[in-house]
Amino acid sequence: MISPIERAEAPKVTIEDLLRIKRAERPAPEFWGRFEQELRAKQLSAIVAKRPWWQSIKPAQGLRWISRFYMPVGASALMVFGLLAVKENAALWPSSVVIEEDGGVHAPALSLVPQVSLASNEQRVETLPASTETISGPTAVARYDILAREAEVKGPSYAHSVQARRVTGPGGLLEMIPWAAPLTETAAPQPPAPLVLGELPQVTFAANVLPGRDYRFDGRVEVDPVVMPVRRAAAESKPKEQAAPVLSPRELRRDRILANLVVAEGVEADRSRMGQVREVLVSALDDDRLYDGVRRLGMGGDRLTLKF
Amino acid sequence: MNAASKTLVKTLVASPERQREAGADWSVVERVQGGDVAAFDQLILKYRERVYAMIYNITSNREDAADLAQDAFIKAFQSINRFHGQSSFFTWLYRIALNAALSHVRRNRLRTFFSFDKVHEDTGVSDVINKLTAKGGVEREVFVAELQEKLNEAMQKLSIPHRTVVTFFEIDGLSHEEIAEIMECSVGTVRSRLHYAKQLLQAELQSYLN
Repeated sequence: MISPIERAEAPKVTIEDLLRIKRAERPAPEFWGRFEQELRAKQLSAIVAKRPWWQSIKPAQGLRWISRFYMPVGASALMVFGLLAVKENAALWPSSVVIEEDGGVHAPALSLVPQVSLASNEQRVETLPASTETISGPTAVARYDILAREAEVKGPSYAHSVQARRVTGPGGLLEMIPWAAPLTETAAPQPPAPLVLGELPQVTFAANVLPGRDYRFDGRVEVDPVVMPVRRAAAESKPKEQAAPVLSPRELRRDRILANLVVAEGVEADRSRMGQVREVLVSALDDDRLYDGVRRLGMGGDRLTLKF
Repeated sequence: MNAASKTLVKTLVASPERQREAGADWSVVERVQGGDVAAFDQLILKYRERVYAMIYNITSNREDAADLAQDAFIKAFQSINRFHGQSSFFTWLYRIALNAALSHVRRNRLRTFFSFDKVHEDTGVSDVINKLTAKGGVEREVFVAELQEKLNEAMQKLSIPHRTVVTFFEIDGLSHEEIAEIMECSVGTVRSRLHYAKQLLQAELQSYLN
């Protein structure tokens, strides 16, 4: 480093002078011999190496201006291709929620037949025979394929029903997907066992001190019948509330069929005949063969038509 | 108008010496394009030192500079058929070398190793060194090595465009117009970058300036 005294005596140095020192940085003469040797080796390897075919393409003189637009043209083509791909695949995307006739809302499914997005109870659709049989996997798929072929003959409403059952029916697609399978009914939680007060030491002590009283406990604190006879009588006469049973869609469907059957039974002319049919149906409803045996099921006004 | 005439028109802004060089280079290029591969050696011998020096001053690493200079010559040889005289061969070759150097610097931004060539005092820099120090012998060599290191550190602190302009103008001796043609920018941009780069270098090397 330059000392202050030395710097004061030194003549003026500019940045251009310092950069001249950079210009004086040069390799030794023997460096160029090695440089040329390496360059020859690289040149030979470049001549021997096969060049890719696209480098041998020489565009015409008039088309050289295209090379300026390689990047924007490529980006535009990529974008157009992406948009077309999205447009092509958009038809396969789920776009509607199917609401079944039984009121159940099911996940959207890939559809190869036109879907009816809402099928209300008032809408007269030709429904499929339900099945209580537990089927799954290839068996179910084969069965739904058969039904789909029938749907092609019987019309769009039948096809809709086939499609809905293919997705949500027993052994359907939703059951094959673990996270999409409908929730199964679980056993209702059992109420806690009533507390037996007589087993408690405090109650035993009280019974010894004040005999003659009722210390039984069935979920409510027992009171002296002499003190509150009216409330006790009212409590005994009050019917116990029961939780409404949770029915599966299959049970709901069965109840609805029976309800229509009851309406039909009210017709005087067909009372005896319908009674017999009802007995047969009730016995058959408990059997899985009903759903397998029914070929066609239709509802018209107050009539239910079953074809076996 | 043929390609050689276009080259001459382009190099009108350069000195007559440059124009003669451009014409001579074009004739050699035509020979190479015609199949005389050995003629390319003339171009290598003519420009190898300048190409190497330019890359060395941008990278501050002699091994990298040697590799990149060789690669630039190989690439120029492979692409010689695509050179149609839109600019002088020197400008075209410099652009190839500059692109190779800039790609290398950007790729190895976080890995910077310096390795310097020896300063040859017989090239007219002894007066500058004498202005800076009156020492001799080993102490002078140590002073020059320290100065060289500081200079390269200051150069590496410049951005790539500013470093390139300083290298071309102050070290390689190109004109503003030639630098603008190589870097594909305006002459005003070149002047502006040069002015700003010198200011930064002055701030970095203040201890050596009076």
